Amino acid sequence: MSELLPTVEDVVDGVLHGTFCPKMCNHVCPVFTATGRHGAAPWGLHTLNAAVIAEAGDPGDGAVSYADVRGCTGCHACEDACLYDLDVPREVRAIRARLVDRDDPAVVRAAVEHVRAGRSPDGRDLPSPPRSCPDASVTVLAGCGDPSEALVAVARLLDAADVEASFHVPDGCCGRILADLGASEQASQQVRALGDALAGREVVAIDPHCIDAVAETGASVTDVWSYLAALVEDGRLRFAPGGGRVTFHDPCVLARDHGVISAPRRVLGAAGLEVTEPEGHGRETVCSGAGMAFALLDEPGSAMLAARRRQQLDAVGLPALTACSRARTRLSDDGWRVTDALVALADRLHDED
Amino acid sequence: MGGSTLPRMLIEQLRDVISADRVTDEPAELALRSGDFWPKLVMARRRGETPVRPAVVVSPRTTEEVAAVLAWCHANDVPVVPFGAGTGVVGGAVAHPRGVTLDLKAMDQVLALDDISGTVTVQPGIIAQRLEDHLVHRGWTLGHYPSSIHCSTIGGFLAVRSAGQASTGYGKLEERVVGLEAVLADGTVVEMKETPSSATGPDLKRLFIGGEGTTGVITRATLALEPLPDVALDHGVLFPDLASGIEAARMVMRSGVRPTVFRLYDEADTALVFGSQGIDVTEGCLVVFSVEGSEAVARFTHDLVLRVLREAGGDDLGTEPGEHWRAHRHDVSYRFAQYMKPGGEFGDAVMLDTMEVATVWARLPELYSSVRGALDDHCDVVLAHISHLYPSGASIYFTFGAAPVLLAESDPQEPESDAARLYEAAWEAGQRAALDVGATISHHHGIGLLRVPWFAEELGPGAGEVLRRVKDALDPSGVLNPGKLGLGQQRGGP
Repeated sequence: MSELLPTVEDVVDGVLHGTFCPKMCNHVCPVFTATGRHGAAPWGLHTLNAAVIAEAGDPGDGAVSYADVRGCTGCHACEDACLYDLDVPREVRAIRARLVDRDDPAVVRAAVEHVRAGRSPDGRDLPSPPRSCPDASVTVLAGCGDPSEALVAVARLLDAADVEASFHVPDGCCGRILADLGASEQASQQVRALGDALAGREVVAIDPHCIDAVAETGASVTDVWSYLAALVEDGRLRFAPGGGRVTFHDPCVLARDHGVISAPRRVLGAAGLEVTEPEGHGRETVCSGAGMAFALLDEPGSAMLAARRRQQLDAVGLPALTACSRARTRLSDDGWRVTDALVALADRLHDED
Repeated sequence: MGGSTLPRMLIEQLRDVISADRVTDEPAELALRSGDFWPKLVMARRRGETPVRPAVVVSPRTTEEVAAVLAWCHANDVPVVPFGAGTGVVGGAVAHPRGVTLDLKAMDQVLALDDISGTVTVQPGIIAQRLEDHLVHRGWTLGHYPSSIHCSTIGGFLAVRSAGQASTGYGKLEERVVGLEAVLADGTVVEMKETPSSATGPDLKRLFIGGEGTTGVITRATLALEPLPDVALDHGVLFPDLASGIEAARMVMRSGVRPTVFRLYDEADTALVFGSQGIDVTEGCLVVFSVEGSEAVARFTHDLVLRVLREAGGDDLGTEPGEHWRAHRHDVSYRFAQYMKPGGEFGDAVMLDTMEVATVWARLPELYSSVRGALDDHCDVVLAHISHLYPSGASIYFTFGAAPVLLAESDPQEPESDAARLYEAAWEAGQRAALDVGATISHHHGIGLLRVPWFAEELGPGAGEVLRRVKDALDPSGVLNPGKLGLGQQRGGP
């Protein structure tokens, strides 16, 4: 069963079960917490999704609209809390895909057009990849939201570890954001193109959101933090003396979806960057509001999540780092600064690196 | 096919009373606030019935906004249903088709944490687990851990007078209220100052705590905290029968110490609890108790409780039953869907609910046998545990259900009708049995719509008259949560 491109048939059992649950995961849903909208809570989404599946007028008078199912950031906090491991983001992808077929929402059309024009689904220019090594042993995959400076940082880190790497920036989108929006046909095309580009390669993904897209192609993929941690442990990646104290925002996709929690801390620690944990860290991290194209579908709601998370990070009183470009962009509103952890790492290399 | 039965003009007026982004009549948002998790509503939804919906949902952020909205509703004779997380189990949040559902979840801030006084001041819309996480991070606990802690608001808990699993040690939540603010039907803000205790006339906080939104809307609460315990010592003891277990529990409450958690399961529930651990127990009644606190005090209390239980004839099972309880104590709520959904674990059309009654020690054994016997007549399964202990008595929590499809001798023609009929019959029989023993019909779930048929008898004519006069004085137009507690006219609902 596809994580990225599920069908309604794949999720119908979970939807039914969820509609009868007394909302036991309410307390962990960041969208529900920030917005108070029941349509954004997992139970609300199950109920709306059930109505779409039944093609009924319930729960609203008139069919459930695409906009009604906007309220999910894909953070998987609800899945962690659920005794039955119901995967609400996957369910929402399937339902959005059905609603895209039915309604052709403008926001999805716009995202697809951006990707066709070689931009990210939210209309941004793609990062410029550093020069690839001809005999690369590993291919670094950039996400459409990764800034060029992050790719440069990774290039420097791998160079310092004597790793010969090539860089790949997918045309527009790896498929993840399009799948999140429910543009499943276009997402499939992007995933196929990604698969063609990465065939036979060992892939290291910078943006944790791209991991599932690569996995969909069948290629072998590691997140950049686990990869760097292995280099540190092998003694191949070393840093200059010194450092400082920081706090770290765990990207929910990296920490909860893929269980990568200690690797960033080990690498940051090796670089002399001692992490003081914020309220809500590791598997209990609190979403920034960046995932599942939520900012595209509900900018005010996304901003509310970001404000709450910013408050928690700010309370630590230390420079904040994160390992997700989308989270970094989302949290860096109102003049508040979050640093890309890869950039911070590269700054800790020896001068000669 | 519009969602609202309020004239459009009135809804637009509301958008002037409180900012437009706080008012919604989006059909989906109305539908998702039709009621709460009263099993009767769940069964109705399962039958495909369309629930009643509010005309509009308003989400205030401040006391001033609540006051403005209530004043407007009072002036325009528009009913108001206060709404937290919508997870109550007695229909207290069932919408009014011509009314405003006042969703308080935007009022979810921790306003102040007083480390000297050991108090926290919160808005009513904060989900209880989020508050507990906030407190634990800072070295405190509210000591209030019902299974619904994950999905209910502090305001909702106060509105029904909830109790948590640790109420034997920490008390019910109402006992932790040292200050309260509420808004009356006409928008008057009532502040009841923060004090550990006083002798200044009747405690007016009690007009709103347990009022279930019929007397006023709680907008702020100051709650007494406990230091985060250093240890939690969990233990299990097996008694040969329920009677000896009840007597042992009474002796524990006479011993001079107070366990934090104390649960005595009847034979059926014991078999289920042990069964879930893969242990075959054919007889006996399990006690699970826990003591939280500083190391020395908790250890002393634990050892004394254990000694009392052993001397009362209990068989020491060690720490494992208690640790198993702690690891799985909220699971039963998660399993609700597994039982209630179509094609669930026990087939279609399952009827399932809980009934929490309470009485003094002298009548507790009779309460158990009467209510259990009454429920047995209409149910395929009845489980019970005794918890929420007091010096003078305890609560009995019955879980009861029927599986008309799975356990019928022949295929039922209309299983959902059978389930609905069994539900009504079980409730009538169980509540009647409790009243006949002189027990209270609800320890901590509240009255809502569910218990209206028995509420007048619960109160008696004098107390009932007091409640009616209080309601008339505080809400002469009857706009606040009409029909709940049997006060005013509910329209719609099952």
